[in-house]
Amino acid sequence: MSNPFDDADARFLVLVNDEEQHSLWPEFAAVPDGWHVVLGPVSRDEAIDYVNTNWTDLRPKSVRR
Amino acid sequence: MAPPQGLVDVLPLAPLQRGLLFHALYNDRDLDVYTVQHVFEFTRPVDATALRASAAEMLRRHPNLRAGFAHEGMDEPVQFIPAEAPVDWREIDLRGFDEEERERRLLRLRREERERRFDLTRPPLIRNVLVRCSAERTVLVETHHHIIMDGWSGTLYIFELLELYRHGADPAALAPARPYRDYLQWLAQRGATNDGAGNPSIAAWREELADLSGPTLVAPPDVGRAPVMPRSHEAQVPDATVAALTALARQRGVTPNAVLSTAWALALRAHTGRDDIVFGNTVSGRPPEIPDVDSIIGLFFNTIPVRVTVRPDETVADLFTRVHRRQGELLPHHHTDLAEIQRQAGVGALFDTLYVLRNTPKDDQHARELQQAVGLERVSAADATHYPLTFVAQPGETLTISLAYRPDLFDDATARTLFDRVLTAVERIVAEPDLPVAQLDLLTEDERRAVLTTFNDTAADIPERTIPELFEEAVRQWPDRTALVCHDTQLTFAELNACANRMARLLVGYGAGPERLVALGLPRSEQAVVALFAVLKAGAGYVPLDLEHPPARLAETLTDAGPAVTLVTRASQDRVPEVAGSRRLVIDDDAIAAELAACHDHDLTDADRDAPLHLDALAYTIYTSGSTGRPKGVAVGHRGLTNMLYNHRHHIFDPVVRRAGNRVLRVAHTVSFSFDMSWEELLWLVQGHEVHLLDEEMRRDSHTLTTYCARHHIDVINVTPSYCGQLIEDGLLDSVHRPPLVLLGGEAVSEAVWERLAATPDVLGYNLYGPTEYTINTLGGGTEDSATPTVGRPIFNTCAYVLDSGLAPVAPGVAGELYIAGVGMARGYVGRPDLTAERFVANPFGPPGSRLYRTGDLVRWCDDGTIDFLGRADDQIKIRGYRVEPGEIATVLEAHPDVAQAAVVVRTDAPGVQRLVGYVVPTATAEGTDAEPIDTATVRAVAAARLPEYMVPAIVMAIDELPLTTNGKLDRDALPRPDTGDAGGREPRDEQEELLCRLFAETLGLSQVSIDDDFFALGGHSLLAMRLVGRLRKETGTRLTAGSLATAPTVARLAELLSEGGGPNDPLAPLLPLRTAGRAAPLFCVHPAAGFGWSFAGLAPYIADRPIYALQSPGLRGETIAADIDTLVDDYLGHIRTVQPEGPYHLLGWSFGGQVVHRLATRLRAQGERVGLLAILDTYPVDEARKAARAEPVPSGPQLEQEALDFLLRGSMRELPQWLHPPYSRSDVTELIRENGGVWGDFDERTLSAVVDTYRANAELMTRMSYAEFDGDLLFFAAAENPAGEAQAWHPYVAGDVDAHVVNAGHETLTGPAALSHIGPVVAKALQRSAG
Repeated sequence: MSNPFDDADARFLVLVNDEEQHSLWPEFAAVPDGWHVVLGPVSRDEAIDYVNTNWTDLRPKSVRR
Repeated sequence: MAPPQGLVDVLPLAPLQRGLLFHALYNDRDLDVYTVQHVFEFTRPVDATALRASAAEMLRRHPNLRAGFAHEGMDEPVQFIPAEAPVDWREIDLRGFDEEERERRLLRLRREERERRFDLTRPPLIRNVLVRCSAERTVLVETHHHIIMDGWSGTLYIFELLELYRHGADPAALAPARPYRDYLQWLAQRGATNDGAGNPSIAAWREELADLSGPTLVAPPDVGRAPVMPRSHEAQVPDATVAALTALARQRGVTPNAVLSTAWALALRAHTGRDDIVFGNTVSGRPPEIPDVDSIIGLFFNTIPVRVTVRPDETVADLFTRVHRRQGELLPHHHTDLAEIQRQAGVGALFDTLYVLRNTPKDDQHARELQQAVGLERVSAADATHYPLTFVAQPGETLTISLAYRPDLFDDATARTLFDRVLTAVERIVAEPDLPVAQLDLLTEDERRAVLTTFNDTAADIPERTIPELFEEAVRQWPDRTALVCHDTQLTFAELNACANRMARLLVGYGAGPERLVALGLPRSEQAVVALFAVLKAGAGYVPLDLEHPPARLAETLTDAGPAVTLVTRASQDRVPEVAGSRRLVIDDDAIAAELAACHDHDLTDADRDAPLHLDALAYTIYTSGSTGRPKGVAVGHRGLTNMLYNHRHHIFDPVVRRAGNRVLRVAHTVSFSFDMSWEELLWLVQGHEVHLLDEEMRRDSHTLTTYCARHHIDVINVTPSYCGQLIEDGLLDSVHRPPLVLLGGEAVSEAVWERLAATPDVLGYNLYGPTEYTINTLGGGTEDSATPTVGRPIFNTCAYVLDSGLAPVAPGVAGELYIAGVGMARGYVGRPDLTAERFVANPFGPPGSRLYRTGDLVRWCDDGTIDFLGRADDQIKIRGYRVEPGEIATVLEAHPDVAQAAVVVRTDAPGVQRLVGYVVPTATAEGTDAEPIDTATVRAVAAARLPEYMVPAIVMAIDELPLTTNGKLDRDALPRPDTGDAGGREPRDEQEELLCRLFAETLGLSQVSIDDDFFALGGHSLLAMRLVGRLRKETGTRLTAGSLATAPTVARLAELLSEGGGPNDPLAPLLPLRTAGRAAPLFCVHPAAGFGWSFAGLAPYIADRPIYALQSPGLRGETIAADIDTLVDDYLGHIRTVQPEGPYHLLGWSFGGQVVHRLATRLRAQGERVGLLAILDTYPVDEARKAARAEPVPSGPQLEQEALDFLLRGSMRELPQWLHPPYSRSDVTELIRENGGVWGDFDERTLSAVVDTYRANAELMTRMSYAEFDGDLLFFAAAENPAGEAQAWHPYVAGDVDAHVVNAGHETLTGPAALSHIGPVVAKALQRSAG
């Protein structure tokens, strides 16, 4: 069984939640509650680039000071 | 070929005929399910004579209905057509019985006829029984073998038979029949009856099945039970659905068949969890090229595979359109022999389910008219297949679907669930054809509730308190209880807390605090536990450093983690590289110790910290192997730790403590702190129990560990399952005091270990599962929860989801990937937003905005809500509990300039033995240049300098190219088995060698081992060496140590060693060869005072391509020891020159041996020889300066005797019996050692006594040393108790540099595995530099 998150040829969304955590998300699946789309659908590489550029502090927003 | 007498024809077989013949021959005794039956029910008086004549006429007009089948004595089976075959006809009269009895008898007759086998060599393969039931009712039971006609033909047969009967059996009533022979000829022209090369159909099938990941099998393995008639579930598809289906198919330009077979494929996907589905399909097989082919009676049907590759993002309509198109393209190849297709696919049986679209000739008008004319009420047909599941769709005026299942393989409920799933699939497809496959939900309500809600009902209240606060509560409750035992140190809760408080204040003073890290580069001692709690009390997070990792890797970790403070000790500082930006504190340095002593020892309050403690603060960052070539740090907060404590208290601690009689339990801590599993024991401590911290040597030696557990009445032990197996072999469960709880974790549990724990009274085995990314434990389950190994259920406040490739939950019993969610979720990977965002993903099932971690583990739900671990979805492997990404190792191998490409796999060439094998394509081969063959030993040694020991491949093997699948992925199955075990070594020469070869092979998991194969070169490691020695002891009573295996690693040499005394491999030989092979100049290692040199064997894995010899004292054999150092050196030099007449010489000496090698080096230089390496392990010049500084009197003879005896005792046992007090007597000691085993246990008393004499003589010699200056460099290793600075004492006698290293080990364990993992690579590097 291949994992949809590892499919290099698929289209992805980038989702963000209220803690400013980011998630790759396959285009075919419904967006879960509490997450909103900030990018996509785009290629996997584009989605990864976006995450690397925009998610600079991995700590949940609530524990940052 | 002219047919033999009485035959009109001899013909080849059609493909399915071959299959059916094979099936009949395969089992020629039991039921043959391919016996088909038609039952004609007439409601008017029947003219039996005419009906019988009609049946006879059918045989006459269709020669193939008279066929018999023969195969014996032939290359290919044939069907032969006799000129005539009498009709097989019986008549039975049941008119004398009442209706009930009549029906009973009729039913029995039908069953008997169906179950009575045909002999395929004796035609006709069709028989008739006419049953008179009443004046009005007559029944014809016609039974035939499927090999002569298929379902379509069956209908034609009925029509023709009735037509003849209607016309009084007049042959002229029917037009002449087109012969079946035409079809066989057509097949012959297509080359379909042979599998000759260049057959385009074979090529088409090969392409269709390329890269198939495996078969689709739904039934449990058939253990050869007798076949049974299938049962079935049947339903009519609602008219509205049929109408929608027909409309959809028409609208999308496909057949209803394509939609129905797609529904079947999706149901199979939901049932198996596979995305690459294959099932059998019975096709009509009537080639349109043959005129009037639809009118021919015979066997045209064929079974071919249908492959449906499901992509979750594709819409259902696109999928069935693709299926339709693909099946259309394969239409010209429908006649191909299934056996040949399977052979081409190469995965064995491709499928065990069948999809049948039952088409019958459509002329309902004619059929009705004919039936009326002859008074036939109805005809019913009964047939079957041998497949475990057969799904049949029968279109007509209505659409009937049925699922036939073999009751010996499926229970009724399972078949019903699958049947309902197909029905649901059909309905969902026609309702929403444009939905992605991922969203086509095929679960029932009950299934969905079970897997999402019931099995995850884990909510529990936990207090808002962190682990350091909970620990402080324990301290207040039980201040005087023993908290921690480590060697001779015992700390009460109050003491441990005070130490931790002082260190916490010190850390805060140096800048540790919330969201900042403190690196722990500490040896495994009570200080490590103190520091760990101190960091948490300071509000900071810790990052553990494994001191056995190569410095290069530790540097990488430190740079990546960026700790504010790094804690080391004097012993460990040498191993921990300095990195910029981190304050380094040597905690046992005098200045820091003074600072520590000055700190307050009471609990810190939030005022003492930068910010209050809270559950979402960072607690630790643990590094784990990363597939992209470097380790990744997992950042984890406090909440999961607290949650785990409360979960364990409820599920594990309380029940176990209750059963043990409500007392304090003693818990052995054996897990490295660089592993999050090391928390299991510390949670017991937080709960008030007594933790025994075992040092590196003790925790790794299974014998020592089990002895410790028995002596100290250890109650709880936490180990990997494979190590547990070894401990059980060493008697963990055999002692008077058995541990009431054995915790397992880190890797899959074998059935043997699980069953043994389950079967041992008063012992609970408990498996804890969890990736580093979810605070320590995610799932847990014990031997009382499951008879087979289980990873258990989700712990408190944790949800597990088993999902398919479309992120949809799968039903219980179905394999899927495990995703987890809950309070234990890690924050992510330090500095790796990309990796974090692809592994920690949005959670569709939990609270809004929550995350899921996808584990990559393949699991399935059991019906009781426990989870079975099935394997990995990716390449990740577990080596002795450590998680390893082969990609990371391959990246390191590829960094070697001689390596162009590398691949790393774990091979399990035999059950239970894993070997990590690195395959390398040499740069020279890749570039096509003709260069020196690659030196794989050097490649391996370089990898050893970069990677932890468990990640270093046991074998590095050069290959010309990496085998790839047609998809371009690594083809693991095509990688060669490492060429070990059959590399031309000699066969065993006697019984003893035969036994040893067998034990070697079994232990290493090889099919065979020659007497010259090296145990360690074949992938043997310490655990396997212990296992081999243990088995040898069991089978022959021969006692050997794992150390003797290091000196005699081949069967030949081990046999010599066992056959005692003399010979070149005498364990007491003055020059002991540890390795004789290698192109570089040898390394000579000189013994310590006791005289033995075999412990240097542990150096061998680090030193590539170079012989290694150990010099041993002649005193061991009772010979006189030289009275002065120069005579001794002369003697040793004589031995050295027998194998190496001239330099450069490489010398290494330990303790007394260090004195010898220094003298040897200066002597060689004086003779004008080159000395490439001078390495000394922990000894210092015994010169006037030292004697003055120490002011120690020269020890007397009796003192040295006591020292020697003490040395023997310490090497043999951890603790001395009560009755033994110093001064010891030599006979007491030797006797005790003989009884006790251990390192010295296998020597006789004479040798033990010689050891004492040797020790005394050498120690005495050391008091009379003299030194010259050596004009080169010195490589020096100090034991942990000796500060590195003392190495400077050598300066007067070394003209070059003194390169000093402190090893985290005591003087006496400097050649133990832990110490050598530090010393070995340093020596290897120095040898490489010396270039000789």
